[in-house]
Amino acid sequence: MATTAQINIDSTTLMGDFPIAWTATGRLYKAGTTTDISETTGLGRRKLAATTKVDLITWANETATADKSAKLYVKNTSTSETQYVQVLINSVELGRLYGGDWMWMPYSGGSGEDLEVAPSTDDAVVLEYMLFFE
Amino acid sequence: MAITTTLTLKSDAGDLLTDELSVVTSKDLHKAGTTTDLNQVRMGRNEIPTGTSFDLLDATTLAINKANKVYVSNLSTDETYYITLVIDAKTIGRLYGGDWMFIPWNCDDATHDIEVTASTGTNTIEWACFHEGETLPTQGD
Repeated sequence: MATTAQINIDSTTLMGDFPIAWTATGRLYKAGTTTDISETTGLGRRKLAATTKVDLITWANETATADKSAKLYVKNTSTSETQYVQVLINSVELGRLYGGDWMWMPYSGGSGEDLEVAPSTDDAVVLEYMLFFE
Repeated sequence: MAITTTLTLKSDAGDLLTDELSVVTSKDLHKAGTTTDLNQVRMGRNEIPTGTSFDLLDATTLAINKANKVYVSNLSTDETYYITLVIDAKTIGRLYGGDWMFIPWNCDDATHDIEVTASTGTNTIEWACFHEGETLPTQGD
């Protein structure tokens, strides 16, 4: 059995007449195959304490091949709803992870296409992350 | 109850790692910088033919610098089919058949549309954008 990533999205109040109870499960396969992805950075934690933009994933430091089916997990472990971290790829912002928010994204990577993060404040914030790749 | 999102990453012992891997995290979706629930959504299901890049989500009508979240799932059952997602000319990645993603989205200018391009064949996707601050366009002709 492959590594699996499952999402559940539930709400009974967003649309009162149409309660949401969605589930999707993806198997982590190598690109275009049913062969399991077999490499990962492992689960990491990184503490940031400045608003300076830094690499969370420096593509050149990984043994990953670009334009495959790599997947990336990132979580902002802060308990503050006002403390966010900008997530960028090579200086293009994707969005903001506020305290407790998580993301799961495909990641094509490539030369210079690093995954960057920039905290909103100088207060310490810890990110957890894990890259699955081939 | 808010919109609750839960991620479960799981790998049995001997699959990816020697030992079992299990990561479970859950979060209610809130408006930016608050504990107030996000209360707007766009969602849909589309067939994406190959050969053309399409705007899946238009950045210009949503509030900027917020806590928007976007979910996209590729329903294709053929593992060789995939869609490529792009923001502001920056490739995010590929969703192969059966893959999904859930990402924050800061639609901070008109170039930050989320674009999608299908490869190999027509891909069917389901998607949702949970957000705040959208005002419907005024009536046109």
